[in-house]
Amino acid sequence: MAVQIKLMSSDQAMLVVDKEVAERSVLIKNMLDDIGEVDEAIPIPNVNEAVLKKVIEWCEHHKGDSPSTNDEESDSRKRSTDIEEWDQKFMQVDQEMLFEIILAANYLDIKPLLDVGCKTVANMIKGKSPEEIRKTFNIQNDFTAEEEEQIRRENEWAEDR
Amino acid sequence: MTLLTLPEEILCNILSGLTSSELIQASTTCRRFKYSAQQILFLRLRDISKLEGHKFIFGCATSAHRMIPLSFQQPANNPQHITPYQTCLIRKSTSPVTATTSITSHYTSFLPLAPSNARSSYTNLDATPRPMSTTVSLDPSVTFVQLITNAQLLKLVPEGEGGLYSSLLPVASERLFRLRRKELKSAARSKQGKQVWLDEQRNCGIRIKVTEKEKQPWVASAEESEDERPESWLVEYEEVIVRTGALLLTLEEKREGAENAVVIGKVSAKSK
Repeated sequence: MAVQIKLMSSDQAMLVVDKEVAERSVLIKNMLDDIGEVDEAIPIPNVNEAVLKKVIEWCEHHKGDSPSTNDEESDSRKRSTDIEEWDQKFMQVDQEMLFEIILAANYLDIKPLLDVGCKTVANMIKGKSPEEIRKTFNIQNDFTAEEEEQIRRENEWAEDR
Repeated sequence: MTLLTLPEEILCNILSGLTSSELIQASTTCRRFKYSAQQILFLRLRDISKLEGHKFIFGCATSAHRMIPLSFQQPANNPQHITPYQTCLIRKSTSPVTATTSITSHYTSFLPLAPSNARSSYTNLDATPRPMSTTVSLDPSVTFVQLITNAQLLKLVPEGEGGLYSSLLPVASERLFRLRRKELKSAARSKQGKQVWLDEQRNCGIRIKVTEKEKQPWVASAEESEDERPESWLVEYEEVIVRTGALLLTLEEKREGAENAVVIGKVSAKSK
């Protein structure tokens, strides 16, 4: 039977997961490498139960993935916004949950999940006008009319190319 | 939890998923977006200003002399075969790209050098390279000359893969501009040369130096009087300046449509 470990969410929920699954998180992996075998639950103080369950669900599905061969932090890699189908479905959650997953992936150091999350948000921004972006994410326009006009003029060179 | 409450590094990671043209548009959303977009554009601008893997080529000629750039590799045994399109050296940026650089105001400057195997260099090998130039002539009844320019980015094929280049990206293609007699005369007197924008958005421009040439008889005829002879000027292209942001957008458009890339002029690497 696979070795299992216990995780404790911020709202004190105990989750039992396969060590292999939990180790998709570089933070947890390093912790386990340092302390060796543990019986107590590892506290994850920044992540609540609902989010932690989602994160574990993602790690379960991706446990067989080979570690990313391309560690290079290249801008063009980020710019490719292709997301595999399972991940797309996985990310069909409300915005609140989506941002929580991104934050958790960042905290737990699960880079591929962080990237998928960020790409999902990028795709929600793509092809939208500033007004539509504000609507989608409930953002206040904090520019004055003059500032907006000035930015528009500054950006004119990039239009109609 | 909202998009704007995410830490800066995560918002930057998200916005990195956008192309530069999308980023420029999205930056009018709110101050936070504008700030983060600027950080990303700064890094892209800094990388692009080196133009790695690409060469900037420029051509300018009177419409009668315009040619299609069929070959960029001048056959050594055929020095006459010279197109008006030349590879330009990056001379300098108008200013270095720094964190406060605005994508709007930054320009990259190119120096269009006359080809090294041009006839003139046979006679004087140590001569400093001259800028590209065109001789323009105006008959007394004509008031202007029309020139056509072409500025392109040439994607270089990595060495060893054969071929010369894989694609041409137009930066300012087939742009016409006129030089009036008046302008030529005043430019010939001026020390600073003359700046000409090639497009309304001021994404690409050239600086020219004009020198008056001695009047030559048009036809070898005793009846031709001095007044009938055309006036001639040497127009030297001292500098081609391109908005660095426009270079960035040009290169990205290509990347986005990479599957439609056309391989042009692919020939075997060694043709000896």
